[in-house]
Amino acid sequence: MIQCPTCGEKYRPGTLFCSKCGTYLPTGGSPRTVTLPTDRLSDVPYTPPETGGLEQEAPVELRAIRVRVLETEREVTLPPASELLMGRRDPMRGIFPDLDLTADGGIEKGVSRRHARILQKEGKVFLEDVGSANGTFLNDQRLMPYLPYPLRDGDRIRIGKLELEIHFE
Amino acid sequence: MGDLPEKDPYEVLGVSPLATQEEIRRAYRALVRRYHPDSGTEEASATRFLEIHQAYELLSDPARRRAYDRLHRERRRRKGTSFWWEVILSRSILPALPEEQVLYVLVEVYPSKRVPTRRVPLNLVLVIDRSTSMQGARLDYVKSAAHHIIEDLAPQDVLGVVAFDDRAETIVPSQPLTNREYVHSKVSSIWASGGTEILRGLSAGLEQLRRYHGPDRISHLLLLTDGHTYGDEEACVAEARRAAGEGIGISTFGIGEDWHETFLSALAREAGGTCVYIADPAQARRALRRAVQGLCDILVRDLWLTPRFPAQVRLENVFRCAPDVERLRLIGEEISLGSLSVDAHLSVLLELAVAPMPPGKHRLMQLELRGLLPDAGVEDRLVADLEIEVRTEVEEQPISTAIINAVNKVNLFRMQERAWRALEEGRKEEARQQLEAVATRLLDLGETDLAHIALLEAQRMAQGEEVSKRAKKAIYFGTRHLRLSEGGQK
Ligand SMILES: [Zn+2]
Repeated sequence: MIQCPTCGEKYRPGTLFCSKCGTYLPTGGSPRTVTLPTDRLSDVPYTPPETGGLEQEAPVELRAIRVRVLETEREVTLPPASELLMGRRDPMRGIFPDLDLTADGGIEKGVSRRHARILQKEGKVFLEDVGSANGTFLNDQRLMPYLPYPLRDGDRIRIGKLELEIHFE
Repeated sequence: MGDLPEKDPYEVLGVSPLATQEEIRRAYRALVRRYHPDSGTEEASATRFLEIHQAYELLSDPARRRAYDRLHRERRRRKGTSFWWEVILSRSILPALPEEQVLYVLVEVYPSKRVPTRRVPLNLVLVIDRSTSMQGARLDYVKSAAHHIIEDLAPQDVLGVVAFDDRAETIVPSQPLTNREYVHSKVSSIWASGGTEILRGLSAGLEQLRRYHGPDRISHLLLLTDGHTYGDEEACVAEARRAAGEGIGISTFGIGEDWHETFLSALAREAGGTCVYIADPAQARRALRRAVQGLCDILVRDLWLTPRFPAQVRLENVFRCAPDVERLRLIGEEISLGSLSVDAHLSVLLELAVAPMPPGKHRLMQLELRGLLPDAGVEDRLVADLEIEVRTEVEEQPISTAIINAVNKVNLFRMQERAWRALEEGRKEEARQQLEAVATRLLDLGETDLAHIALLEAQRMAQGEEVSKRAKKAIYFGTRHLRLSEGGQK
């Protein structure tokens, strides 16, 4: 038997996800708690209660991140945010990545609509593949999907076939 | 004239290779009226007429037709199958363990490049709930949707309309759409009254469908309802299963919030169709139209997957994970996968339990996939034998992203299933926690809106409030249609 590192539920070897809490069992990638954006209203017509069941995260210092697309020499500075999505814009499906790689030949270079994201938590920066079709690489190492890897200033990452250089501001 | 014609005689007459002699004669007569040099129509043409006549001569002679069919089939077989698949295992090497292990098998089915020569005629029956709860906007929108469908279909398509409350009435007996005005006027005459007994409508609808059903058509029942049915659910599901066995599909459309999502989903699932949630009746037209367009795009129908296992391997669960997530079930030893559209891909996830086995190579399973090509009237088949290896020492193997994505998608669906089950069984705190976990996962996947709905629902539960039916449907259907990745490996 294997045990879910997050909730303790037991599973037979080979099981991939915990059906209770959703943890990816081979790496134990724990589900994170992210603060809900307050400007997005759901269409469910009732008022949210005063006390929330979700823990509010203490605000920490976030950095702006500068990304250079090597192929096109394009440089983008991303605002300080706890989560930055990289991928291809698809308004039909409501996908608006913070870093849209469509203009850099994203489709031909195998960039998924939702490809990878940069997370900031407790002053640290992470890179996580969010189930892309062609994978995300950090300094030539392929990332396990849904598992955040620490990201450092000057790291090179690859989104499908597009090479990016990351700088912290 | 005795030589084999260059053009496909079936195509010339516009009939299926499975057409009866009567259908061939009818098609010939209609074409003669149009193309005969003496007919006086604009289309009159001696060459076209000769072509039609030759095709008819060949097909109306049973011996010549058989000879042609044999040759034609042979030619078609050499072109390869009309669909292709990719079978991916979560692991192909298993460690030798004293306990049972879990293994996932992902089957991705794609249409081959071949485009059908012509659109396959549809044989549709609309089954409309006219119970009192439908009165007003709901019934008006549904009738308007039906009027649009009547206009969208071609004259060779067949349409029937059944309305039901606590009894069923055949409003329009199934017929080719040659007299649209009549069908329109009958649909306009539907008025609301009475209760909801789905079985009556379903049975009457299937009865109409069977009149024109054949291997060269796509026969599909479209059921539109807004309410619960009482006591006849099991009989309905049994009817749906029987229909699937005959090659008839069923899709269900739930309007508003008062219908039972698991029941309508089950009805559609048993007969290889889809269940659509219509939150706002004004969406009825779009939903129905999309479904009918989907039926027009069908390349292969009656797709059945047959998995066969040795004694050490057991099938635990089967899910469809694309185009949407749905729990599938074995019917006998087969799994109905519905149909495959020209531009779509279908994927199925099998969850297997593998008993302890000694080191060495072992048979895992045999997979057989067969489907019917309505435009050619033939069946295609694929078979694969899968093996695994058991070793005492196993290094960590990378798991295919396609598998991870598929299992993740299915898992999220199961997590919310688990929440509703806990709620139904009165374990409220567990249900609340489970919904919170669903919300967290949804957030991780970037599905913020859906996560928000789940979270608010969990908070309402914490305060002892009832779960909103609308939110439950939003989560149930939302998690089924998640797109976690681009889907497919191509
Ligand atoms: Zn867990």
